[in-house]
Amino acid sequence: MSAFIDARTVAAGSIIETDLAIIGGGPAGISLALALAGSPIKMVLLESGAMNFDGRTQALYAGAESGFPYLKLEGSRLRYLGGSTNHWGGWCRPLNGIDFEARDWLPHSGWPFGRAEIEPYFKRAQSLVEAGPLVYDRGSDWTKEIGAPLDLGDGGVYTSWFQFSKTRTSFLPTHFGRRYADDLRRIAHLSPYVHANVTGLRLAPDATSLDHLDVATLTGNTFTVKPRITVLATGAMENARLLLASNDVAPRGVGNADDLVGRFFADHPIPRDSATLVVFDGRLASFYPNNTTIRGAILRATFSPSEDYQRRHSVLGSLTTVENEVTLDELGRAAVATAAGALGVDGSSAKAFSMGCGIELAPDPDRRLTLGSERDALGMPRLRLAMHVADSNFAHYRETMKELGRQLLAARLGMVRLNQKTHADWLSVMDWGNHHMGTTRMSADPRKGVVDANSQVHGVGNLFVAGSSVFPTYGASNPTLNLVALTLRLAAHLRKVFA
Amino acid sequence: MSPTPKISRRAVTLAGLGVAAAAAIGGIVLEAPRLLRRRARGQYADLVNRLNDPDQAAVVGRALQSHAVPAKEDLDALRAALAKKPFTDVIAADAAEGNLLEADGWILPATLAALCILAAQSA
Ligand SMILES: Cc1cc2nc3c(=O)[nH]c(=O)nc-3n(C[C@H](O)[C@H](O)[C@H](O)COP(=O)(O)OP(=O)(O)OC[C@H]3O[C@@H](n4cnc5c(N)ncnc54)[C@H](O)[C@@H]3O)c2cc1C
Repeated sequence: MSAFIDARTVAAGSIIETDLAIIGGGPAGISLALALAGSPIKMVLLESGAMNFDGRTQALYAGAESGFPYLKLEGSRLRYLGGSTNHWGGWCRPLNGIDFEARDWLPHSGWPFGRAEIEPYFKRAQSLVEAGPLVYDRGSDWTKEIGAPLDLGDGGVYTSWFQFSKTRTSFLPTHFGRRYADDLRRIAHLSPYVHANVTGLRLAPDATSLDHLDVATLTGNTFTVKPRITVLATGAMENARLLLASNDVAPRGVGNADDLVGRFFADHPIPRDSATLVVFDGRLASFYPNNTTIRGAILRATFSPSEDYQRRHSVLGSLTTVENEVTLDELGRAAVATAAGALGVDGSSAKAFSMGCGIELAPDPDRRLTLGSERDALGMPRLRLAMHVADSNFAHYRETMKELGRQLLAARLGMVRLNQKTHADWLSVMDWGNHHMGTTRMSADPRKGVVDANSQVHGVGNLFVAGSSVFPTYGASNPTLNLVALTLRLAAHLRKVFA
Repeated sequence: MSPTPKISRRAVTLAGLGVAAAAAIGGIVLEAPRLLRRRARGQYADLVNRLNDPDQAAVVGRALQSHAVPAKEDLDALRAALAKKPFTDVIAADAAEGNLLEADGWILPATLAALCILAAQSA
């Protein structure tokens, strides 16, 4: 078993040659290395941090935010082995088929392929995130013995399912660094470096291939890695930063001939108390408000618009979970009593629950990361995020919740209150998923995307990008399971490239 | 429809002494159906009195103040529909068809919302 190499101890000025360089040891970088473990491909993994949090390394992530209130750039990700899975929530769900479709009502939407392309990789991805058996939309069968989902009848909203990552030995979700460090050490053809910050992607003079990588440590050491192929896997913010900052040969940055790198940044708004759910008979299966462990899977029900409903009503995706039981004010009590009575049902045992949600944002080129004038301790320009969230994104969500309300009333089961209406309302309950996406979007057309369908940077034959920065449309599902599946697909492609 | 003397909500609570006691079940505290509930009067009393409790409906109706008062033709059409179908089915069908209104965020069948507006007017 080989050890992690401390980049601070590498001889200054050395040139390390390898087949494949993986930049970043988050779930994307680690999954890629693991997927290529059995191959003869000689790999180098370059990770900025080490095994634990370190304030100086984390400070390299600081930047500036403006516009719609958003998280601090250094607070919404982690810079050490395992990346942001060191504090992720472990919520998993595959993207829906519609998330890949180009929709005429949704500008800039659509992937260059359908969900079927990554379908074969979900099983392995599910195992890497340690979320138990792949159940998801079979959740209702799986949980039969606990209870039945609400019978919402015909309509646009249905009960879908989340699953959760959980390390076998802990209640916490899988921290990729800690969990897979030994597996990385066991890969014979892998040299994993820690404290190794890539500070430049250096193109060959004709700009059609990557020549080498500049690596620096916070102790002032520098060296070079010269790979045949490179995969950039530093998370959706840093992927854009490295491409933009590497502007010595291509003045706009690597892969940025069409000014797309850093644009279309996205996250999932997760407003709290977005709506209230009332069930007239007070009976709601425990898998709605609680994570429920059954036969090795941790499941939680969630309300989702069906793909058909999304198509017919031109609405974005959303996932709404039932949170805690709440008491109602006078109007709420009157509304419940009046509606239950008018529907001929007994509302005397009614219960009300606050709901929260994750909302898909429409792709927006002006939601954008650029380089600022400030520099970090390694001399890299810091990021600036211009956050921009149009109110129409929330209007889509209200539409879906209204449909849920309609279904509940029609089925005489319950009702819904939409708790947020105005821009100020939404801001007052806003939180974020920390699901960075979209900054190196994928498209078969080089004018519309930074990477092609194989995740290769357009025009740069030996540079690939892994992670959710390539998502051109985002869906409402949490990204990690999906970006791991996509990375496994990239690994299969790289095997062919190296063959 | 036999007219019932208009009694204020406070009077009901005091007079009922427990009849209008609140039932606290789960998270919602619903008022138990009143024996001495108020009966609506006026032009649309026949419609408003279909509701279990016009006082409660009036609370909802007040949250719908920005909506227009239901048109006479619509209310006549409702009467005609009620001659053929039970009230509860009319309300459920309204929801099923997506005829909905929002009362301070509460999604209601539009017909029910209209009756709540009338209840508020007659309160
Ligand atoms: C609080 C929080 C909760 C979350 N909850 C969920 C959830 O419930 N479900 C879900 O699906 N997702 C969740 N996420 C998102 C999830 O963590 C990310 O989707 C995932 O970690 C991204 O993986 P990645 O490998 O692409 O990038 P990262 O995890 O960001 O990893 C990038 C790696 O690259 C390294 N690196 C960065 N720059 C350099 C450089 N210049 N040189 C060398 N190495 C570098 C970093 O140190 C890091 O290890 C959450 C995130 C946060 C912050």
